[in-house]
Amino acid sequence: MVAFLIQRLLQGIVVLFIVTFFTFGLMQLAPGDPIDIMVGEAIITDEQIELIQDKWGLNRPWYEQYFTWLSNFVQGDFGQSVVRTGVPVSDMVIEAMGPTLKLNALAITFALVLAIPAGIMAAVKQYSVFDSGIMVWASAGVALPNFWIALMLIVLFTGQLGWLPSSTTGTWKHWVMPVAVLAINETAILARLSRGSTLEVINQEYVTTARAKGLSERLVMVRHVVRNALLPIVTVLGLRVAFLLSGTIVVETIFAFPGIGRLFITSVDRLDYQVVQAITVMFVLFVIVANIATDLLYGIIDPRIRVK
Amino acid sequence: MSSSGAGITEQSQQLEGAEALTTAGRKHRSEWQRSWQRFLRFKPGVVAGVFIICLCIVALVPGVFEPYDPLQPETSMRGASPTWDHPFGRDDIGRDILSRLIRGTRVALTVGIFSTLISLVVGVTVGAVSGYFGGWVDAILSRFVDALMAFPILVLLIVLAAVLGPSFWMTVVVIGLSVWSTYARVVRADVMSVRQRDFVFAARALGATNTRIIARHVLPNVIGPVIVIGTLSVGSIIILEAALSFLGFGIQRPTPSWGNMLADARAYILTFPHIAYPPGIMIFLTVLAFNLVGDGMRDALDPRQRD
Repeated sequence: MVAFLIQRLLQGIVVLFIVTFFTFGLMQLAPGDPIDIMVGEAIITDEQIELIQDKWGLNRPWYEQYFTWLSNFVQGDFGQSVVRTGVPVSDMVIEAMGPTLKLNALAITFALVLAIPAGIMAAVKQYSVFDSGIMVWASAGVALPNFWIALMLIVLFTGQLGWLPSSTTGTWKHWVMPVAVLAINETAILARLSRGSTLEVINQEYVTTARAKGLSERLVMVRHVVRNALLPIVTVLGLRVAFLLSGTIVVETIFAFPGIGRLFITSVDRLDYQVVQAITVMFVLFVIVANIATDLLYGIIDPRIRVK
Repeated sequence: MSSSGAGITEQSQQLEGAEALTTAGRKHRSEWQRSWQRFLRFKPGVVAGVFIICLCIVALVPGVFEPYDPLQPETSMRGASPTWDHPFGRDDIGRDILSRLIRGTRVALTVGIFSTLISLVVGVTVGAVSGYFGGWVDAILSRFVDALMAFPILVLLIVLAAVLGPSFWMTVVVIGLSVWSTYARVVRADVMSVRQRDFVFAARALGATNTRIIARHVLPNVIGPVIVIGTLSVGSIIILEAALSFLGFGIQRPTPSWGNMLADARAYILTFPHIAYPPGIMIFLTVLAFNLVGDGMRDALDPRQRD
């Protein structure tokens, strides 16, 4: 298990290296000269340009710039925003990170709490009306684009009913729609998954054995069915993080939510590549950490993995 | 999923060795026919398939179905509600929404299908090479697949579109080159198991080259899952394109795409909500249709589902 984790950790570092290299390279190809973006309309002399180039290291070869950037990044120095001159990117990212983490944590919690019991129930009562309902929902939910759900919720709850505000944060009311939009797709995916994994488990011989030895139906479900059915869900959770983060970008943009997704979009629009680069790498770091955490969790709840 | 479909061609190949070629040929066809019959039994998949065929016709000749010019604004009719002449009403600058929706069908299907083809070719190639050769080739390629999977896909697409400049074919290529990791993973795993089979050893003993073994003996055995993933991925690519266009990094105005139509709708969401309904419903129905066909195919190509 320890060897396996070390291997995964090393793989994660290699992946991060590839990603930073690729991202940095892309940013070099990006349109817009950083000096032009910095000075804007102001007229500057060649000496001043040279001064800026020296300060930002723009006149050094790209690989030197890359390694400087990488070593700074590892130390938590993400450079400075080109647009909000002098503001450290790390401050901007950390400031935006809080709301985003809270938003995603709430969404995934709601999705899990709703979807897992629903999926298990559907499997236990296979071919019932409830089961068909869940399956219809699971098929429909993945086909609904989240940005359209967001618009429809705004039409209903802001326009028609006037119950919920459609932008920024403040009271709990501001959180309802962004959390709901992110949770809706996840609910559909997780419900389908937990239904499927419960069905796989429910006809296993050890479940029959548990029943045969006279355990109550409740104990059979809790001890033998649910525990095993949850395993595939844990593996998928790590993968879902990447999808959640994609959703976050869309949702934060629509609801003018002051999180990292919106910062990402505004930074791309303003050609503030230091920020774009930092956020991209942060996103990837999240996904890698989530996947390693999943492996770890999987090892803890499934003893068979530990033995291997 | 990784094993679904593998048995069909595999069985026919084993037969090829045992029986005369003609019998094997007939047997081969009937396996696909049986899959087809299994597919027909899944009614939602059939309905969805018919719907997709209709969409394809609309996408091929949109001009035949468009009642008005989808690009012609009429500023005096901004945000006009639905009428008999304009069943979905007019958008924020007075263009006919139905006509724009029809033109958008072409965009959605073109991106969906071509990006899928690009990702399929890249993913299957990487997966086959990775799984067949193993060793350091596999180690390197697998890290690239990991790196690709570590990106939240929309982040990658936005950065690429911003750097390369958004345009129609750029969107197709960028999406195609970003979503191939699933094929690579599935094909790699299947190829790894197939290459240990006797018929591969036999082919090698007969002096077949690696390329020939991969193309003739390994890939036919993994084609089932690839078809299923491909069909399912058309739907998710259509959503990706719409999201990208919605955020302004995909299909650029004035070309109507369902995504940028929703971006226009967003600005007037509380004044003219009717602009936002049709594109969203079309995305939903189209993606649902591809997913249902994909589900049907998965069941049909799964050799465990015997009739």
